[in-house]
Amino acid sequence: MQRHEFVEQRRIALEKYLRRLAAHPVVGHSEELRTFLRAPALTSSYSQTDSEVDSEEGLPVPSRPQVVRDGMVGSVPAKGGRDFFGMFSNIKQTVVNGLGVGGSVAVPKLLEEDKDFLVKKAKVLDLSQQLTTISQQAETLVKAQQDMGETMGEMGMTFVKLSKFETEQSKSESQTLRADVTRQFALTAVKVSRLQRALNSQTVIHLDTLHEYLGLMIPINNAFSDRANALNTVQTLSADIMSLNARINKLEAASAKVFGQDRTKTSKIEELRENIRFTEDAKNNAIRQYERIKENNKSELQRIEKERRSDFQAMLKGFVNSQVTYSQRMAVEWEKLAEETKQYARPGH
Amino acid sequence: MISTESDPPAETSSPGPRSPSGQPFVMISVTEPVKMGTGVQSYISYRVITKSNMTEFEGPEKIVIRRYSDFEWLHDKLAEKYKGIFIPPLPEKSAVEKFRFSAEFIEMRRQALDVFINRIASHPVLRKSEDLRTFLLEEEERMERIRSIEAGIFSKKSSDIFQMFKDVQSKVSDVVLGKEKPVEESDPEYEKLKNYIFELENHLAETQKQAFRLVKRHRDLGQSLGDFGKAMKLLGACEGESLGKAFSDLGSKGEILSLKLQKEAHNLLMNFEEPLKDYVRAVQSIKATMADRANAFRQHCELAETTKLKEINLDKLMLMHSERAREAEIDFKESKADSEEATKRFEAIVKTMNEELARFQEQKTADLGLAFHEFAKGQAKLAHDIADAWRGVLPKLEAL
Repeated sequence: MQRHEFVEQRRIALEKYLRRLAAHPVVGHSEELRTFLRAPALTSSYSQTDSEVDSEEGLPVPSRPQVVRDGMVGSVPAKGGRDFFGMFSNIKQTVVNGLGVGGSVAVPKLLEEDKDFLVKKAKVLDLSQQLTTISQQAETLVKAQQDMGETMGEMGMTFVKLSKFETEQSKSESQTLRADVTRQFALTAVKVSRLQRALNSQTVIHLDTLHEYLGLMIPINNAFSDRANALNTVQTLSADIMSLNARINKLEAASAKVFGQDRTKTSKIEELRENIRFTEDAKNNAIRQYERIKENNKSELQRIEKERRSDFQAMLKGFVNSQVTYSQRMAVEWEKLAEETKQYARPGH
Repeated sequence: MISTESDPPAETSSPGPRSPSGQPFVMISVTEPVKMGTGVQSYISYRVITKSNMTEFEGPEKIVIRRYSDFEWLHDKLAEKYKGIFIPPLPEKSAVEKFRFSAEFIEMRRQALDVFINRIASHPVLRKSEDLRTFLLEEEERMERIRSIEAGIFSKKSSDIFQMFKDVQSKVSDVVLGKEKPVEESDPEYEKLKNYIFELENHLAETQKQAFRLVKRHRDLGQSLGDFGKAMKLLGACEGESLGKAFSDLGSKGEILSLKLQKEAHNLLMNFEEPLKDYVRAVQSIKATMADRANAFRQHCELAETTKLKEINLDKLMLMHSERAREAEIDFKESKADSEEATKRFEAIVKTMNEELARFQEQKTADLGLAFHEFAKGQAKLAHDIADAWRGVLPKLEAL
């Protein structure tokens, strides 16, 4: 799906979720929720001034999806995001404990893995920022090397022309000498320019690895989005179940006060229980899905990590080796010329 | 500097007398550029130090303060008095305000002025000039007075000459006598020489342009390598562990090499591009002399023709036993003397030019040879430094 659609869906879902939490008899008055909704510096983009007051529930609700960016919840900045996510998890924990509802043993594990994952995610973000920068700089470097090679060659050609001219017009020995040394210089410059351009072709190949891995950041981000999406689905469904249970309790409490049977209330309760069963199924599917994605995420990240390390190693070795080889050869050419022009050196040098 | 033999192979600003003590020598340094005044009125003053064992130069040491206009004055005086000689060229007068006083510009100008004054001091004829002595020895106030008196006269003269020789080959037109058809030498050798000089200037201008571009390429490569190095270091910090360290090391090398490239850019500017610019200026100086020669030739032709006409007229008058014959005779004799004078001047210029040309060719071979040698040395060192720097990281990379 498109990014902005996804973001908007996420925003709506989050908003719904927060409302449900606020409506919860226990969670709605919890310290965690209050802190979450009021603390100004939870994430850099959350701002109290932007919120509108929800008249129905009397609680401020963020009106803009500022905490959501890049399809990754809490991705900007990484630190705040971590807190945000941690907060969410804490609230969730409160709910589960408070209600003693189907406390799946999986829940505490959820928190730990999340933290590990969040560390990894922060690292990936950092890496993608660095890769963006270095990719740009690599482009600039390659261009500068290219220009150097070109100009050295062009300059060499103008001296070739000068040398030919002087040779044709020579009327004295000094002129001929000058034409000769000019030609020697020109030919060396042209030779070196070829070496420079060859070196640059190598550099382009090696540094391409950087661009490659920068490109990989996008699918990685998408994988993260999938995971966050799946987790949200699970949490949303859990909240749904909670609210359904709450309604059942309400209805049962109400009908207890009335003597005799109330048929409509009974059927309503039946309906709700049906709903819960249905939602439980969905939730279990969602959990399976989420676990699957988590596994994929993990193994993929590991694989990419390993490949990246080895590719970067190869890149560095290749880059350095070609720089050394070609610079050596260039040095040799210039030294030859320096030797050939020794007679023109300043005395005492 | 003066050596007792022929001129030194390379004219440089580096001090150090080449002649053994006892031989007459004069060594001049243009040093310590200092900005004087403020705003539009500001200028650079230089310390000109003359070291000599000759009495004419008030040895052993004489120090004066001079500015660009003083050098200009000397140049113009010499150009006026020594026709036929290729006067050593001055660095350009800067018209652009902003660029004017950048450190690089000041250093290049100082170097060029140093070369200029030493070339004059080592020229067999120019070094005997009275104006040179004035320049090197007079007190600042007197120098300023001398300069401002002549400033009015000179600016017109110099611009006139430069205006005229824009197209020496075809249109050395004579505004004063109103002649439309230019009178030119028909010497085929000289014609070839004129063509050579004009084409040479084009070639040299092209090489100078490329040289300047090469300087810029060095600066750009230095900049981008430095930026790349920084980005490497940041990536290294992100990577961590031994791979991260390798990145950081590479990044540091990049930054070191960036500095070396900037240094080489400066070296190329001073020791390669500037000598090429100097070569171009020298060729332009020759063109100025060619204009002088053309003027001298024209005068010689015209006066010869005038004299001939006067002779014919005189003969006529004498035949008629006219009273005006005596007057005409005086007139004719005067004209003849002027004509002979003009012819001598012209021939002197031709002779001097030939000597100067031989000197010029030798000089430029030495100058260009030195420039190429320095270029090769600088580039060899840079290439070695680059290879060494990167080689230093290899062991760590191999260990990964």
